[in-house]
Amino acid sequence: MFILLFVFLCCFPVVSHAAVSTEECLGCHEAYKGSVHSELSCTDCHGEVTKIPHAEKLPKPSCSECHDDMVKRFNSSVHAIKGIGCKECHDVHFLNKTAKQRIDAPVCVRCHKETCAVYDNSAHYKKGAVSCTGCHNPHNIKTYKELNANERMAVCSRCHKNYTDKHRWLPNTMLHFTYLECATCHSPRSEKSMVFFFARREGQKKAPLTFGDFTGILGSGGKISMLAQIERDRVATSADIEALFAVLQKGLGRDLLLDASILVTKVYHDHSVKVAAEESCDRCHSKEASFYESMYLILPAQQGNLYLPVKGTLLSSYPLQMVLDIVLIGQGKIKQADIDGLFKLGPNERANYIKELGYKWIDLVGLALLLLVLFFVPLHLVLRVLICR
Amino acid sequence: MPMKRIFLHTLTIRVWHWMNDLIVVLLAITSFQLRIPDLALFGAYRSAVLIHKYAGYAMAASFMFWLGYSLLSGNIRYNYVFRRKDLAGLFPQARFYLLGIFKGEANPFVPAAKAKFNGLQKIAYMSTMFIFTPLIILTGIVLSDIFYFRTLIYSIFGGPRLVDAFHVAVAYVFLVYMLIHMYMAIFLGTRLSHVKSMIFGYEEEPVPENSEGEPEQPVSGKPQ
Repeated sequence: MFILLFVFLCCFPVVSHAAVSTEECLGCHEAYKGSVHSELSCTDCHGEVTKIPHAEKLPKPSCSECHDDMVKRFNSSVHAIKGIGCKECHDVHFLNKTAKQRIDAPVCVRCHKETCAVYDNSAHYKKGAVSCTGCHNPHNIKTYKELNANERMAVCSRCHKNYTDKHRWLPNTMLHFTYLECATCHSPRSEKSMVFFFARREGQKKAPLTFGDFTGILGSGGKISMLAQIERDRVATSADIEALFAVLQKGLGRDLLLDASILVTKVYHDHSVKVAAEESCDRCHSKEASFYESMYLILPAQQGNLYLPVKGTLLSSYPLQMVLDIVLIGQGKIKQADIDGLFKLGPNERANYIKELGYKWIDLVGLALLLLVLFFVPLHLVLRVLICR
Repeated sequence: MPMKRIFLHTLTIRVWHWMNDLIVVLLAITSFQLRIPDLALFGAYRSAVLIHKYAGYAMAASFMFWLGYSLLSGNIRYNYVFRRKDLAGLFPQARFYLLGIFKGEANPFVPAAKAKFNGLQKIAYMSTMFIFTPLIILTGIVLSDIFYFRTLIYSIFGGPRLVDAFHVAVAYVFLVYMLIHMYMAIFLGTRLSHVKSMIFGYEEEPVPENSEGEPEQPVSGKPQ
């Protein structure tokens, strides 16, 4: 008797699964017939349906059972972090085989309305590059701010393979491509910023410090709270950066450096503006360059990066060892304000100011020397003429 | 006051001098635009960058030529090496530039084919040719491709900004040197005699009665 009951219980789920066949489901859900998932039986995903009619609301099926790799990758993307699930983009029941799984503008526009509107008027779109997924992979997409200049350029260079040849006119071509992204010039309406970040020297290369590096060096307690303070203030002052540099230097020694690059911080999604006709260097190599108006310190966070606006100036006015790697020709080293500062400040402030002038001293002393010579040489000549007469 | 005509500069040195002069002027003008882009001395910034770069390479070649020629011809041995005699002449020479010149006194130093420069000149030219020129050329070459020279930059200088700092600091020294050099060349000789000597080779100068320089007849032989 017990044996019979055991056999019955073991067979029950199988018997009940088999009880609801795909044909039976399609009786009501006929429209699902052409789906890419039609090779599967409905109960492969909706295993909880054991009888018809089933409950009105079914539990969410798990896509990862079949699409494990994809889901794993997706889970670290910004889409997943923002709570978007597979179904928000993929209509699994209507996905048809011919259109494959490609998700494009009609889906993306649901969330990215403004971006799509700008893109639709760009030359990329008009020349036939209509698909968002042509450039972006929604399954492992990062926020724009998480991508460094190289990663951003990698998106463009998939199609624009010969970009270095086309930019031969640019002096120091490769140097420019190390510190700039394509959008710096080809999307003039995007907001450009000078961004600073801590990096470590690894042989001939430089690697930005990761969140792990930070916690490893700073440890817990007092030092990390300093970092937290900067994060809370949402702004990095020159004193903050200097203090942080000093602390990090204890962990990394001479390998630590503060690096900088020019990054787009607010994207205008038209990257197809040709600026070949302009080819003007002084849009950037000038103290008037727009990126000096918005400077950021990038700190790695547990997820993504923190962009903290930098108060004050960093270029050329920082302690020697800190800005060794940052040099941008034509930044217009000294201004009237620098010279005024020397004379207008009180004695205590002046001492500090003199220190802060940093590399600007080269130009200040150099120009003062030139002026002295320009004064004394004609004086020598005039005196000679007057006295000899 | 007796005048004498001395052969000072060989054709090679004269041609080198004016070629080098052209290069230095190009470098100096472009350097201002590189430093202060708003000046637009050369129109497009790109032109200034390229001219500065290639003029810099030319400067390096020019220096190497001068060094080779000067070592082989004895130019360095005769005219640049600082001797005890030069030390004694320093004070009178400085006194002449600061005081004597106003009173119309004669220059205590009279150049000769194998002793072209006085002590002060030797210090100025020695430091220019053996310290500042090599330093500005080396830092310039390094800056022309900071990728290629990255290891060198980090091991010797610590970072590109310091290379830049050295380069610019020496550039100011050069500018100061050039201004004083031009003033002295144009206004210190008699009727542009210094400038003429760098064009024609011969210099015509009055000889003071009690000059330390050995009186010399016009030399037609091979000067150094």
